[in-house]
Parts: sequence; C-alpha cells; structure tokens
Amino acid sequence: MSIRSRLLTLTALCLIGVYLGFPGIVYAQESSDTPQNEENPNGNASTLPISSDWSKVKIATYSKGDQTFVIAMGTLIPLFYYNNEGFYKTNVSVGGTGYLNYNYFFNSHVSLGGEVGGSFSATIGRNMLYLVPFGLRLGYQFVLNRFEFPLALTIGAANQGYLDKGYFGLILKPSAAVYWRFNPDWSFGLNADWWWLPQWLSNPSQTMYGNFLGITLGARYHF
Amino acid sequence: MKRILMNIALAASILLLFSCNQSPLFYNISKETPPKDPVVAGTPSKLVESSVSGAPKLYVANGRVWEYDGSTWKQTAGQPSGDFKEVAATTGTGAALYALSVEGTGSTSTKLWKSIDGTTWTLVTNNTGYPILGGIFGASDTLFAGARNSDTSQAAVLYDHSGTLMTALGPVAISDAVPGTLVGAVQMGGNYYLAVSGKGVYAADTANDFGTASPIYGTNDTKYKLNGLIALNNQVVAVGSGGYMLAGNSDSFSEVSGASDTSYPYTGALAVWTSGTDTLLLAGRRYSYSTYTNGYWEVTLSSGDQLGTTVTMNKPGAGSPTTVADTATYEQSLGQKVITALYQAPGGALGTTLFASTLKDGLWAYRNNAWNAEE
Repeated sequence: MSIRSRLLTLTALCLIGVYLGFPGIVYAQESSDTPQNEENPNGNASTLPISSDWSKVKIATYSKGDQTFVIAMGTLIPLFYYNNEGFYKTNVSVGGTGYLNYNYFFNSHVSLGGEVGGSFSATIGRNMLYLVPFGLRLGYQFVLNRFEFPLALTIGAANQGYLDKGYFGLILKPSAAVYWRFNPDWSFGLNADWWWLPQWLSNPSQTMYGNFLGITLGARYHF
Repeated sequence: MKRILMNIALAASILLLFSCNQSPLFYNISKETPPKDPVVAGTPSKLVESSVSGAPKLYVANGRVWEYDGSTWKQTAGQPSGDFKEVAATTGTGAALYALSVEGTGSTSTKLWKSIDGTTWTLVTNNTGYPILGGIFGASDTLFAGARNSDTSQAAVLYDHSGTLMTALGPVAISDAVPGTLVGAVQMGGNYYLAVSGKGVYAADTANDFGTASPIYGTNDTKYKLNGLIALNNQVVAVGSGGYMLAGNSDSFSEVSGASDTSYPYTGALAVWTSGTDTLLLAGRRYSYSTYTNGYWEVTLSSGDQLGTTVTMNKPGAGSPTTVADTATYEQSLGQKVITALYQAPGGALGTTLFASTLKDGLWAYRNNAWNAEE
C-alpha cells in the first residue's frame, strides 16, 4: 500500500472514530441547526433515526478483570447467641469493627476475593471480646445508574479471644451494601454484614452460635 | 490454582495447629454478671467477728476499719486516723478488737490499736525491739503479731499481754528464703499454733512458751512458702504459695495428698463453710499460667470436720456439696479474682453469707446465687 493510500485510510478511520466517539456533538449540532434548516421548514428533524440507534446501546460498568479494594469501618452490634437449648443474651455491648477486602470480577456481576477484618466488644463483666475473621469472599453485584449494590458471602475462619481464652473456628458472613459511584476510581457506601460464628464444643451445652450485625461505612477503590 | 489451594490449606492447618485451646467463649460471656462497685474497695484485709461493741459484728480494714451488722457495711465510729491495713479479734474475758495502722508511705512505721468496746481505741505499747509490725491474728484469747527489727534483719512473733507487746517467738533471721512473716495464728486442743513464712508451723501451750522453739516436724521445708493457717476440730491446716497443703497437729504435719500442686499456689485465704450438715474447707488459689484463673477451691471435710488422707479439690459448683449454684457464673465473676481472705458469717443476726476479700477488687459476697462486690 502506498503512503497516499495509507493516509487516506487513516483519515477515514479518524473520521469514523470522531463520529463514533462524539455522537453528542454531532447530534447537538444537528439539533441546534434544525429550526433554521431551510430544507425542513416544519422543524421535525427529531424524527431522524440517529438518536434511537444509540439509546439501544448499554455499556456495562464492570467487566472481566475489574478489581475493587474496599476499606470499611463501623460498629458491630451483638444480636444473640443460640444453641439447641434456646437463645441467650450476648452480654456484649456495641463494639467497633473494620475490614479490608479485595474483589476480582469475572464478569459484570460476579466477583471473587478475600477479606480480613477485626472487631472488639466490651462485655458486661468489663472484659473484652475480640474477633479476627478472614476468608474467601464470593460476590454478586448489580448497578443502577451511579448506585452499586454488592452482595457477598464471606466464608472463612475467625480467631476469637476473651480474657486469656481463645477459639478458632468457622465464620460465615453474608453481606449487602449500597455504594455511590463518586468518580471512575472511587465509590462510597454503607455495608451491613451478618456475622455467624459457631463455637462447637465437646460439651453440647457449651456449644453456642454467635450472631452479630456489622454496620460499616466503606470506601471502594476501582482499578 | 492448585498451588494457591495448597497454600490456603497449609495456612489453615497451621492456624488450626495453634488453636488447640478451644474455649467456650460465648458460653462464658453469657454467664457474666455486671460487677457492682464495692463499698469496701481496694484490697480489704481478712474479716473477723467480734462482739466488743455489745452486738456481734464483722470487721474488715481497707485503709479504714469497716463493720457489718448483718445488713450494711459502714465505717467504724471513733477510729483513729491512720491507714489501717489489718484487723484481728480475740475472744474470752479479755476480748478485744485490734487494728494495725501504717503511718506514712512506707510500712516501717506501724501502730497497733486496741478497742474493747468498738469505739474507744488505745495504742498497744511495743518496747520489744521489733517496732515494725505486720500480720496480726487473734488465736482465741491471745493476739499475735508478726514483727521485724529496725534494720529488718530479724523477725519475731509478739503477743499482747494486757496492752503491752511481748516476744512470743524469735528471733528469726530474715533471708530471701525466710521472710519470717507471721501468716497465721490459731488455737486448737490447748495449743497455740503460729505459721511463719519460710520457717514452718510452731506450737506451744502458752503464748510465752515458744521461745526459740523449732518448727513442727513436716512444716519446715522452704518450698512450702507458708501463707495461711486454719484450725479444724482436731487438725491444723497450713497452705503456702509453693502450692502445698499441710495438715497435722503439734506432733507432726504431712502434705495432704490431692491438695498439693505447684501449678496452683495458695493465696493464704482459708475458711470453713457449713450448710446444714455439709462442711467444706475453702482455700484461695491461683493458676500459675493464667491471669484470670483464680478464686478458691473446695474440699469436702469428712465427719468430725477433718481432712481425709487423700482429698479431692473441686472448683466451686463442680462437686457436691458446693458453695455456689453454677460453676460458669462463678468462673466469670469471683473465679477471676485473686482472693486474699475468705470468711463465712457465723449465723444469727449476721447471717451465713460467705465473704471474700480480693486483691484490688474490694470486698465480695455470695448473694442471690452469684458472687459480686458488696455494695
């Protein structure tokens, strides 16, 4: 191909690119010209097919390879303990919690990642309960305009401490959140996490299932 | 991916390996009770019962002297100024209430006060050459006081002879292994028994008969580190921070099988608890490897209120009879506190409430099926 042919091809591609990249400008120019269009004295230029073509195009906010990193802090509200003998008061006051998580999107909705966090709560006996969970995080997210609604289930383990005693065991943490997309890099929102912590003991009467609700404010970095 | 999964499995295995101590945290927390603010705060002394005021009352000191009439605790009226660390009481015709005060910030200037009516206090004269007092105990009709000389090189045990202190036992050379502190004095079967830390248990039939006597056989091993003494019907029981319990009489003592464990040092708190025909010996203990495992243990006394040749020590609530309704509730309250003294009120107007003096957490009592600080 000669240099002249290459230049012509490049020019044509640029024109197509400009057209595809800035349809609003093209449309705006056409719209603003329409009342004065001598070839269309009735002023019904809005019937042109060009605008309806673009309204049918939907671009997904997320796609495979997108990643988010979340930092959240807030309160941990004790709900109840239960075992096969009934429900029990937690004897724990509202505490503090925070966590970090990472999510990798496999498509516009589904993500997989990890999470690590921690919490502290005072007991009525003036002692302290510590929970340090970590685990894998499976997420599903849907988007409405600038609002994003990530749902997730974290499956992992939690190191738990009280006085000089400890327990290490399973944690399941379903969560729901709403985030507002501030800009392409950041979104901010509110998270609600249900912490389910079973403590299985050889003595069945000492087995307890702990339930807590985490309410946190979060910031998500998108990359 | 396979490698990642293997790494995750490895990390989980390591974490599980380090998490062998699986304790019922939520269960324990569910048994907690909200602690009250103690009316007798700090580190109260041992409790004693005395009727010098005309009515039976319990007395305890935590800087001030407090009294309990069966319903409320209040500071004893008319007590002199001073930082009162200990109280003791004697019975019989010369019944008196004693209080030991420390002047200034150190413990080298001490005064022993005596009251025969519960309101008027007089100083007990001390010209023995052992001016520093520490540890006072009423053994029936006689008050014994531990003492040191001015340069703390020698210790002695003094006794009150009509308002003047006299030397009962000593001198005892003080060293690292021999603190020489008087940690208990009781009377049983016509003999007085004195427990001196680092030395052993001494016996004599009169207060001025100890002289420079040797400790009773079986009590003088320095590993015992004696810190408590109590008299049962026909046995004297001594315990120590070495983790040993000894029992015997003026002839000899021996280690109590089943009650000696170096991992569980005794605090020196000893009491006899009764309920109907049930009788328990209570002993304050700590667990060497935990800050929060303290409280006291129970030993069932056989008929005649004496220790068997081999005993079983139970945590409160674990055996029967027992002093509490629920082990877990006890463990989440008094079970975490270091107990320095135990005492069950003798009945009558004072009731039969079980009291415990704690290290820095004030005076506690067992009421309404739970241990908590006395308000």
